[in-house]
Amino acid sequence: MWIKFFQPNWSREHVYIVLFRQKVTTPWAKGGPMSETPRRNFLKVAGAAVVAAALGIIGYKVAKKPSPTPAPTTQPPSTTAAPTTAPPAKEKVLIFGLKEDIVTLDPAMHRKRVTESVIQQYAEPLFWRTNDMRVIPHLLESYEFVDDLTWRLKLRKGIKFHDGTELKAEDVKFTLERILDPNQNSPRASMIDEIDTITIIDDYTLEIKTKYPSGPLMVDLTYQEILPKHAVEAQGEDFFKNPFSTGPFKFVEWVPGERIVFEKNPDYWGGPAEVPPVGPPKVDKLIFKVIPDSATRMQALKAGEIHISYGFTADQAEEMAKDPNLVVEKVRAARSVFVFLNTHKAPFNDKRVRHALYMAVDVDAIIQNVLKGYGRRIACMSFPGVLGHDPNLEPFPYDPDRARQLLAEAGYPDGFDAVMMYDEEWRKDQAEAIAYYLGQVGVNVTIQLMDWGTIKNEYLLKAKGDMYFGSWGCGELELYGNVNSTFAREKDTYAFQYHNDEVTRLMKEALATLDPEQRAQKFMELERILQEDAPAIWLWEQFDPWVYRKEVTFTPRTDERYNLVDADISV
Amino acid sequence: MLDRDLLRLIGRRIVGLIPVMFGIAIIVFLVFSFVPGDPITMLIGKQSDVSEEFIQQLRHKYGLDRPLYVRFFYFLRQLVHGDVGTSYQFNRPALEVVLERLPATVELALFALAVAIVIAIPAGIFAALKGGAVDRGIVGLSVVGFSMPNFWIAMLLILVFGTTLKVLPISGRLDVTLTVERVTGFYILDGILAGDWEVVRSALSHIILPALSLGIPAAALIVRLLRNNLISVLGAEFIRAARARGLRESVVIYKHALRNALIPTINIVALQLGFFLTGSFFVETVFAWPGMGRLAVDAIYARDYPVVIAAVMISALFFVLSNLLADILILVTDPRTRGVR
Repeated sequence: MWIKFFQPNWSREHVYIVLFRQKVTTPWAKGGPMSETPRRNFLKVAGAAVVAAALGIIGYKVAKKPSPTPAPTTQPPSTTAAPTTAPPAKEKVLIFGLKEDIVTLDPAMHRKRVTESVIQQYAEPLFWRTNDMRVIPHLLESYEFVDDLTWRLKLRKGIKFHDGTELKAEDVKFTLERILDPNQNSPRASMIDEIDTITIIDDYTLEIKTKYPSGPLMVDLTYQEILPKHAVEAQGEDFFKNPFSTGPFKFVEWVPGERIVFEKNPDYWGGPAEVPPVGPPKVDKLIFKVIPDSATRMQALKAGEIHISYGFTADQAEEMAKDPNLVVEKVRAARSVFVFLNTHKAPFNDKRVRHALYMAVDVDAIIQNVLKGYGRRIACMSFPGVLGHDPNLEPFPYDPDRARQLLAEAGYPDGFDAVMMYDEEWRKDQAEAIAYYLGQVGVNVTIQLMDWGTIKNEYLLKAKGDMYFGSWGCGELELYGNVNSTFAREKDTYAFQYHNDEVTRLMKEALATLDPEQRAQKFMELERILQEDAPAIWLWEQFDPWVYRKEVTFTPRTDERYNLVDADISV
Repeated sequence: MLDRDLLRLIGRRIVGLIPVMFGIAIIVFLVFSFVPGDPITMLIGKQSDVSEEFIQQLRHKYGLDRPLYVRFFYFLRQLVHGDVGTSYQFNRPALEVVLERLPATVELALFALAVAIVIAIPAGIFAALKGGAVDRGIVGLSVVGFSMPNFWIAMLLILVFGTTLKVLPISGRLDVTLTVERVTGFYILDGILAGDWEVVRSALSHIILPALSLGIPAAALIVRLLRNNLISVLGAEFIRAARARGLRESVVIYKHALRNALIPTINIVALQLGFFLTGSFFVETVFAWPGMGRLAVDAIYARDYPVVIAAVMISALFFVLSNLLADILILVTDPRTRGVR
């Protein structure tokens, strides 16, 4: 009985056997005993039926074609107007192609960049970045440091939630405390856990006391969107089925896996004066459409089903650049790419070996040939634009002869074998290129794809394994963003438990320095030490192609956030 | 007679479903306990502010740090109450997350089946009766159709109908500027219910390409099967006897030959429905079809095992049900099977 449930009467194998083994006899084959006429008649009928059916289908399609609906099927490709979905009225609809769906509309309950960027259309943070990445007060009018531990924040007056109530200090306090509440289980709690207390001074003023002086808090507050206290308290979790806040767009609907729809908030306060133009959004409707497959997303852009998207390979970007309807922009991704080396294990515990590996890889050639220019060489973890980046720090030169010499000095004249793990599948050709260059100096590298959880928990944190090829984002645009957890913190560094007292000390001091200039000095000193010690091969800063249609006005940002208030589309 | 057989069959299968569902849930749970990687690491991703202590705290809050037998016990207790757990990614009941995506998958599967039948049945009959070059042509085409992976067919269809001819949309279920009240979740049906013909039209135009991608390989399979069965039935003695009785050829073919040839075909068609419902991941990905398959695969990557368990259980349910459907159809079409079971 059990077996019966699991076994369909005809398994797929069974079908194959029937199809390919069975001898077919055709008794009516040519000259057979059968009379021909009735079969002919039947065939005529059957044939006519098939043709009729086919015509019917085509007829249906043709009949449907000239209907005046805005479906993609009906627009001639030459029109420059929103080709797929221009609604009958001159409503401006902007469709943004997302590579993944959002996981929630609750700003406190996720750690996903895409989700955050979508939420930011309806809710706003206290601080924000200009398009050239300066941190400025957003919902705040001003801020001041009362002392090293106390931040005094003044809210702008007259900012209204979508329900018409005014944004007050209690909303800010509520939002931040909700993230920090242990019962909330927010994966964002650790971003702002230096906050000790939040005190309301008056309706528009509050004071944040931190447990220790914290330079990064301002940047971390750019990621926390403020919610209306009264509504979240009244509705609980249900609030996030139909959320609202102060943002430039009002939430309309989320169809999971399919789309997230927003409409213009005509009463939007406009955003800070530092980021012109100030005012409500230019488009009437903003729709995020989820298309996970990048090849389909590319075709959808070409066909005009979506207007803006990103998350493409360099090859796809090259192909789209040929399309006259599309604009391809090379945008910095705020992400460094590197190979971590296990400094606790021979032969990587020898600094000469690490320097040799660093000098063996022709990074510029990989950028040109494999990345098609979508990268720029870096000297260490940071890149231009990051606070603490030292423009005078030069990468080690590509010098395979010197590399061989160093390996010989270290006692490996014939090289050695090593395994290089990586977790981002699309980087396979990059991993192969690196393995090729290391092979040129005698280091035979086997590349192995694994998932991040396994690499981190079983190898990096246990200081096992040889090399890890990966990338780390630095959306914070401050050096700690991708150096702290990888090389500098006191324990559990992800670079195979790398530890260097000097690096750790400098990082600690820098994080407690509130003045950005002084912080930058510490970061620069730290990075010089790190580069010389070479616990990693530093490769390139990643660039991403952002693609949008000609009829769209749009400025991509380097922090993977979407500036859609200013985006426009001609209809 | 028939009714009693039918009821007994249905009753037995439904009773049998319970251990199947439990067994599957337990297997998936155990597999995920031994697969490396954990949901919290995947939830957090690569973040610089997160200490390992914080990750451990979150693991503790979700109960992931408890020993396997404790977690297993909790899991079983939940399961008895019909709850497979809360999704780590979405922070909502996993079953709810999966059921939300179900109508998309079912709608696509039904259309794919319709495509397969509409193509396969006439072509199979045509090939069997006509023979010669027509037969070889159809069989040849079916080999091609069957050999092409459905995601490849999908890419071809996108290039031809979407990008080049620009006659059909290539992504999603509905024009994103259109909205329909989700009553059943089947957009075509919802559109009809709402009387909104624009929605119906848009939903239909969106479903054509994915349904073709899934339906063509299945059609190729069914064509060959039907053709072979029909040919062998046509050679059987009862057909000769029927002809000898002077029956019209159309009666011989439709009432006698086709009915017998269709029996094994029906079985395969019903099973194909099971495959459509559970194996449409590639097609769902290529056409950005927000179905269950895509959700389940994403959940595997995220180690979101409550969602995986829910999706696998529903898939199993579909397989059992499509088998049941096949058996019922056989019982109805083939009198020889009655009273045997």
